[in-house]
Amino acid sequence: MLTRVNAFLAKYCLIIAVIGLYAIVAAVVFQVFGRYVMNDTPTWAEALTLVLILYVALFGAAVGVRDAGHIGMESLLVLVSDEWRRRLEVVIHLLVAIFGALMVAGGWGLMSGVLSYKIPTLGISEGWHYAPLVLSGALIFLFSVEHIIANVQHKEVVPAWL
Amino acid sequence: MALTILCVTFLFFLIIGVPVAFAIGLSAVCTILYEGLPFIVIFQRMMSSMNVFSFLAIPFFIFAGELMLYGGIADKIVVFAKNLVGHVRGGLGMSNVVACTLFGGISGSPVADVSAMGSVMIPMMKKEGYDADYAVNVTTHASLVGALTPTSHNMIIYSLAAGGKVSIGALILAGVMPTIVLAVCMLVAAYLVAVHRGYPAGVFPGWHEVWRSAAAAVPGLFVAVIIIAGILSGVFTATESASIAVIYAMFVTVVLYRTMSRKNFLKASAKAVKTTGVVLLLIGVSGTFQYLIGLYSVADLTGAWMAKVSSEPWVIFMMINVILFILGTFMDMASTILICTPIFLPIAVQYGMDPVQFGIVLLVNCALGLNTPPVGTTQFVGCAIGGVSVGYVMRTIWPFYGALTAALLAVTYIPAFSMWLPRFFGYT
Repeated sequence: MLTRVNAFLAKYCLIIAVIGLYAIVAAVVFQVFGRYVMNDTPTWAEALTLVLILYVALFGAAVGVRDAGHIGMESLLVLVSDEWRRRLEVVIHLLVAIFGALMVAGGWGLMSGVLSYKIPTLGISEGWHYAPLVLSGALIFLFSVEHIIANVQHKEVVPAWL
Repeated sequence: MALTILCVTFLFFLIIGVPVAFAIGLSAVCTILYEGLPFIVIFQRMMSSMNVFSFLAIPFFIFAGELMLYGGIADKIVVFAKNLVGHVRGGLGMSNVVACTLFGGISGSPVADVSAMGSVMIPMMKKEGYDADYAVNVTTHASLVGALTPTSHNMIIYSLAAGGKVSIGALILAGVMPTIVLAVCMLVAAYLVAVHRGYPAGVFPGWHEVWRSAAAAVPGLFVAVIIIAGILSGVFTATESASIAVIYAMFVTVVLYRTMSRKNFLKASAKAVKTTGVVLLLIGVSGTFQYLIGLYSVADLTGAWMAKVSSEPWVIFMMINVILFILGTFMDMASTILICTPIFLPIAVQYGMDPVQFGIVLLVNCALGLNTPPVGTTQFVGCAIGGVSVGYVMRTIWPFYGALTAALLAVTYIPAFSMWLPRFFGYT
């Protein structure tokens, strides 16, 4: 059940992040176009890219947790027996899950503090800046729990998309 | 005490195998909690470190590199390199060095370089009777120049880790000479080993073929020119140049070469997003780490400790090199740069090294670390493609390692080596 939900979440978060990346490229290119061709630098472009990049990066980082894309040291894991390696992996995923939970709590605190402020050039709430922290933290938590369950059941977590 | 907690928890998390970004984040959490500060501070720092317009160059460089990796530019470069130097003894080894240098120059990522060039060159070399260890070592070492080229996002990371005081244009120019010398050192090492082992020479296809393949490869290589010219002329910022490079890479692979399939395009995009996530998360948590390093005056403490050992600049530089090398062996490039810059840059500057030169020293050290266990990312990829173990490759790594160390020493002790080009163009 969790695997199915997570696979769905991972796939669509990655798709949203990819669309976000295209949008950022387009916005920056449009900014250059505006400055040199139309002689009118669009002020919203930079502000928009700065919001979007947080969604792209933090969704990407969360999917990276599910697809085991983050870089870490593996030497110690190779040295110990299979049994111990599985136990250690559970500890690692647990620690990552804790960080995910802290991201949710921290992000929520930051977001609720700035909800009433507006990003000047975009006219949307400052809360949009911190929302990806909450979402990404929740995803990281879910994906780590999935890894722990898969580990106990001797299963593998397979990337959901590409 | 707080500093001890920071260091001990970080090392502990790292050693048990927690991914670097989370190890940094969790050790910062432990320290902040010990200090009795609200942990929300960590996430505030993290978000403000990630939310910088100049950092947008990073996803763009990564995306452009992935597009070139999946878009078939690699094949054109291999053909050109093979036509150019394939007829020398150990010709495929030499072609490999040239191809890796060129592709590294446009992709800016040693790992992308090894996966692109290695998957073409390593099987080809094995088929022609070259030993797998030689094939892997040539590829993994030649691809390290990717870390020093204008398209490398690591330069952007360094420039920002140094507080934005180091010009990206100066860094790009400073990397040119070391890149060339590194490539020449690799060519010499590849040639000497080839002669020693009696590898065959290929057949020269004639200058006509060389020119034809060069013409086919040039549009792909042109992306580096866009970035250099864009930044140095001041027409674009680094971020804007990088966005133009993405559009250009799309144009070349989709329209001009027509080698990019829809599936590969999506793959390149998804891979770029994931790598961006990994790198930017690392940058974010490192922001917190840098804040704590500043708070506890780690740079001053390290400087004072080094001054006790010696006051000779060459000894200090050697010590910095050794420490950077050791850290680079178990951390990836981005984390090494982000953590070491605020600590060692002030010390290096105090003993007379230019921040631009220090950047190149740092990048070469990180590159060395990419080919050294326990965390040798390019080495892992190369060995996986070659179907051999890291231990097997390590036994014959020395000629290549020697060449790389020679380049590192030259960059460290001969300032003009990296600095004359930036100075020539008016950067000081």
